[in-house]
Amino acid sequence: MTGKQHILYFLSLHRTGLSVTVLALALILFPFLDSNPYTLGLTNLIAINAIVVLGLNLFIGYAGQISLGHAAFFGLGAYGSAIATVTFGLPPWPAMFLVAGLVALVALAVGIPVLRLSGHYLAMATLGLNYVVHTVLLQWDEVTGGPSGFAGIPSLNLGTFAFDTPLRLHYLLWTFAMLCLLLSLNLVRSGVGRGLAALAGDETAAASLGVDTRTAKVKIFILSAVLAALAGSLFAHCFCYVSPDTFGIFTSTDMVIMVVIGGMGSIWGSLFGAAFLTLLPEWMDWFETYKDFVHGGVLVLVLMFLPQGLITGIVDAIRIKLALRRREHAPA
Amino acid sequence: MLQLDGVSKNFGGLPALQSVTFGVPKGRLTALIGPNGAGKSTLINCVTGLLPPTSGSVHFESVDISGLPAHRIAHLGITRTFQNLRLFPRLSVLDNVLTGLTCEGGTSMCMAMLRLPVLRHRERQLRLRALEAMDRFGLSDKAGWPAAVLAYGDKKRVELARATVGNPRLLLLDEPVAGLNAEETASVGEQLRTLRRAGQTILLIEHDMDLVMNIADHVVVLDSGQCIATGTPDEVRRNPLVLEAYLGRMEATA
Amino acid sequence: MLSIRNLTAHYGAAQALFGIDMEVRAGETVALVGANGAGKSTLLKCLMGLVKPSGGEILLDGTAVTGAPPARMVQSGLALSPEGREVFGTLSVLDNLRLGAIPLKLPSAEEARRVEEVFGRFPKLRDRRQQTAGTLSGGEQQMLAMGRALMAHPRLLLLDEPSLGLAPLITDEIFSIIHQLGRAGATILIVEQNAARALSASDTAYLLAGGRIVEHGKSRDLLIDPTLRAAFLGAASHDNPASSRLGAAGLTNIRLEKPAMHNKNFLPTFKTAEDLRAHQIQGLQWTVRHAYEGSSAYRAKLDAAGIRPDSIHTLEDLQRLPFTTTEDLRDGYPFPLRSVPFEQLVRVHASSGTTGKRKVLCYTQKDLDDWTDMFARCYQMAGVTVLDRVQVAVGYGVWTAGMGFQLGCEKIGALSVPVGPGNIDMQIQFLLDFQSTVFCSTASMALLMAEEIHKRGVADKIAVRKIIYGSERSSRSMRRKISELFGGAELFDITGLTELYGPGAGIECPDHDCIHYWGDYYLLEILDPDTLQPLPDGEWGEMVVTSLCKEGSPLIRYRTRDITRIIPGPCTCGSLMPKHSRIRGRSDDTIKFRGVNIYPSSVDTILSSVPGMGSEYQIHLTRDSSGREHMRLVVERAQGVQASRTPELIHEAGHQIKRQLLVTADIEIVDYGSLPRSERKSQRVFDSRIQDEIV
Repeated sequence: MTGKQHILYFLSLHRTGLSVTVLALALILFPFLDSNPYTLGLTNLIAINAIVVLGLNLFIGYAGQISLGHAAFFGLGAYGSAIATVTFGLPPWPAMFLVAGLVALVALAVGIPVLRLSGHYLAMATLGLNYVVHTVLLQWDEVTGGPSGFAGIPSLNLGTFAFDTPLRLHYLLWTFAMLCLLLSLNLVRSGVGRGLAALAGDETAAASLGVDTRTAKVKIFILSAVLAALAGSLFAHCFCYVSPDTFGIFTSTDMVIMVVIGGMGSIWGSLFGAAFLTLLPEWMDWFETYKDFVHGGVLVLVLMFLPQGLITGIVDAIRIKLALRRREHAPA
Repeated sequence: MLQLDGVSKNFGGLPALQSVTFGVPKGRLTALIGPNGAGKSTLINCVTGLLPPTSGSVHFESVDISGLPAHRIAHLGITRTFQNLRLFPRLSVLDNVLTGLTCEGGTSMCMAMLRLPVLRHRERQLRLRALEAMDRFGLSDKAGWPAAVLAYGDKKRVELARATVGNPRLLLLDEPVAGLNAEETASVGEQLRTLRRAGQTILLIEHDMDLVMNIADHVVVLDSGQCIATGTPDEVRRNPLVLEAYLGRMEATA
Repeated sequence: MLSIRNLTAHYGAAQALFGIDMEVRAGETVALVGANGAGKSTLLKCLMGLVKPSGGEILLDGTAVTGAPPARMVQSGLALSPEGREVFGTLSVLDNLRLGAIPLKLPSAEEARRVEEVFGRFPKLRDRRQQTAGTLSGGEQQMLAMGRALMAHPRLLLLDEPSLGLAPLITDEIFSIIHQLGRAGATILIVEQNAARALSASDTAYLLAGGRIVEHGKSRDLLIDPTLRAAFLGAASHDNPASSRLGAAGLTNIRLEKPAMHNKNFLPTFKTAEDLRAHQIQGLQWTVRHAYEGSSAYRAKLDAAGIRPDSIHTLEDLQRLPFTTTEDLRDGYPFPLRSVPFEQLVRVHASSGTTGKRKVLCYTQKDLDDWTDMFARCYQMAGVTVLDRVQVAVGYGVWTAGMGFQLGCEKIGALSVPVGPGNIDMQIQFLLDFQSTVFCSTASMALLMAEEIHKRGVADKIAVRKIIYGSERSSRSMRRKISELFGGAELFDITGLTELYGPGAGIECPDHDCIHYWGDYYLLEILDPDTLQPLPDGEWGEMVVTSLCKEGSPLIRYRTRDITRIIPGPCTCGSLMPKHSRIRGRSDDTIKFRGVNIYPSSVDTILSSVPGMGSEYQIHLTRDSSGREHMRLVVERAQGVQASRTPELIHEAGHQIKRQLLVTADIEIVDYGSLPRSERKSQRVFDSRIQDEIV
């Protein structure tokens, strides 16, 4: 085998790891380009959103389900970390993982009955879950602090090194984000990932091929919930303050919009979607006023014209065009 | 290898299958024929776990599989193709065929996410096997294409490749040549014959009588949900019940 | 109901029946099957009283009716539907039927009722009641003849060749009516040439040949008996009974007169392992004595080891005996290990000399006979029968293969097509023309043939069902390829070496999971090649053989340098003969690479398991200037696999070799068909390192 073939094969074999490394390098170098704390604050938010969207994309895009209530898990993660570290005085890192574990159990308990539903019914059920959690966060004053929120959440730290500036948080949050990205990419490229893609494509066929559809749906639901909870914990320790409004139904729909724009089933697209929707308000000042209109409008447009979402839709269209052209030129 | 005993299926009072009993011998090609609406697809769905039978039992190698969910039946080594093609249009041809190896692809999400070396090696082996299956059906040059752009004949071949890649113990084919022209039908017939020679047990649902008579070792005839005849192709061809139900009042051609 | 005892019949001086014994019970359908001239019609005529038997007796319900006139027989309840129908051509159907009951002198009402009954069973006749019988079709005439016989309400219905001259579809109809009659309780005796039909329609059957009953029993059993099927049913099968016609199938009376030929058994008849062991001990004692007394070389060896022939009592004494090696064969050239005087030798064979000086072995007539029997056993185990056509594509002359395969084939009674090696064109030509069913060659030759068959697209036109190959190791993927390209043939690995008679010392089991060797002709030990200590069953080691009745050049603990292992336990195929695994390679085949011993067969196995990898490969061993050893594997892609897959194949193969053999090899993939094929043994290992081993 020639040297060139060798290199090409190596590249194709390790393409996931290599591309993530490249992006990681770019992110490491980014603060040297622009160290404006406001910009970094934004990118930190993108990182947090990205983690949620990665999980949600696996659920919506890969497994073909729908959840309009993921902000619930986001909120449970945030408030969970807050309560654990402040009220119970647990150190932040173990608290984060403990909360993630608890949220996993909640997702399991909720998932098993709810995932028997599909389509609109599933959407309604998840919406209902979000509503319940939001109401609890709002009403249960003694524990959650009620409408005025929960303040005084400590930052994460490694020994004496505290992650309390946007620059430090940039590195921490993006490390987490890159890790989740890598794991998601690996998942999608494996037999399990194919099973999920099959599940989304045609559930009957997937079952006939050996995919335990019910278990797979629950497992991926739990995974997406855990990722959302993780992001929530990071969110809490990043901004040191959480309030119930952040975890309402509109946040859930935002997350779905991010998935859809980025492309359902495209992992890299999740990053794009998270970035796009996080940065959109920056580019359009009047956005704040008409936020909901714009959000809704974008969602409808994308769903109408490119059901697979923006990135995936474009990529698919190109692939199909290329393939069709090749097919015409290929011998019969 | 497969034994159906008194399998019945009612759809809300309407009997689709009535006490169907027959066996599929190992290493042979059994054809299931019958006029439209006779219940053939319903029967296959009952065997593969997509529909639970109302009564009766299905035994696979002496193990009772009636009522097991579809994925458990797939893990026992029973695969199938679908009459109306159920490919995954957005996945590439290679990925489609790889889904045929789901039973061997592992179920641990953690292992998959960490992409441990064990998983890498397994993926590579599965990939090579899928490529080999695609070679057999002449699909290797279309490996990266999204399945949606393939011609109808090629799509049928992808389904076949997907169903055979995992070396199933029992292969169920639901009208594999429906909609194909004469040349493609002959090619599929040849594939089936090769599979048969290699000792594969096959249950074939078909309308195309030429294909059935040429390659089947054993024929089962269904009409209106009932099994009206079983036997060799020649025996069945001359059976007056079969002639009446399936072919109308025609002279039996020698 | 009917008993025939020791019936004989003569036509003038010529004897037609030689002591027939038959029983027909009430309600039974009995078939009497035989070729033309076997005596079937004669027997029926005797029963009906149309021919007077010359001896023996016929008993109907205990009453002797031998020699009674036909009319009496009809009154006693027999009715005949004669061969060729014999309807009264000028009379109408109705009249024909009425004639059937004449001897019974029935009242007209009863007669009319019976006619109605017959019409009920044969509706076609009803439509044609007034039609002249001569204008009816064959099938209708047969129905008329049967109906006429039924008019007499016979207790025993005799049907003489009901299917004669009728088309298959009509025959179906007739036989289904016979079935119906049988189910209704009638007692029927069918005489037929069409054995398969008759056996399918009856409960008990008698096979008649040359005026004698050669077989009888339940029809069901006779129908599935393979030797009978082969002899009597020819190309017929359950699905296609019509194709059996004893004359038309080309089975002449010669076969029918010697049915015992089909039952010849060459497999050993030991009932228990103890019997075998007792036989082996005797053989060992004989061999030691024979070698001691007949060969000076052996006497010297045995004396040096302090063994006297009468000190051998058990099989364990084997381990005290000295070894024999290729050196002894070389030293004794040209008649090494000869243990009989020259006047008893009738042949020499030599090895191909691929691993050094030719080894020459001499044989007495008994050795040749034993070898032929062993080979016939191999054929028998592989399921070869007298009807097979065996194309022998191995080397003749001084090599053992040719004579071994051919004489064994003739011994088992199959047809041998002795083409010899090479000459692919002629081989293929003969496969097509003679429709050879068994092909014998080396594995490499079989692969060459397989690829040629594929190239010419004649897989559908050849009839090869079994391939017996030997003298070369073969990988699983090579076997698969050969089987596939030959159109789905079964492969049998046959073992044996020139020193031990030749090929035929053992053969692959019909279940294809082991090799059975003929433990009554030789003892097999598996020893550690270095320490020469016996290894436990199941471990790989060197094959050491000791002959038990070889006269010309007996072998005592001959080190073959082939590696295999014993497979203990009973075999699924039922044979009591001991088993060993397929030969893994020769001990001098082992490659020593960076301190690890590697068998080429292990490389075979690993490459076979990579999907997309071809079966042909080469191993190149080199040493570079700094003294490091390198192994390069050149492997072909499988047929039809594109070059783009090369990197993955290399990755997978390298990974598997690393994991299983613990060595790192450079792997190079080349196109299908680019490595050389050979008709004899393919050389796969090319070792260009400096050989500095001692020994």
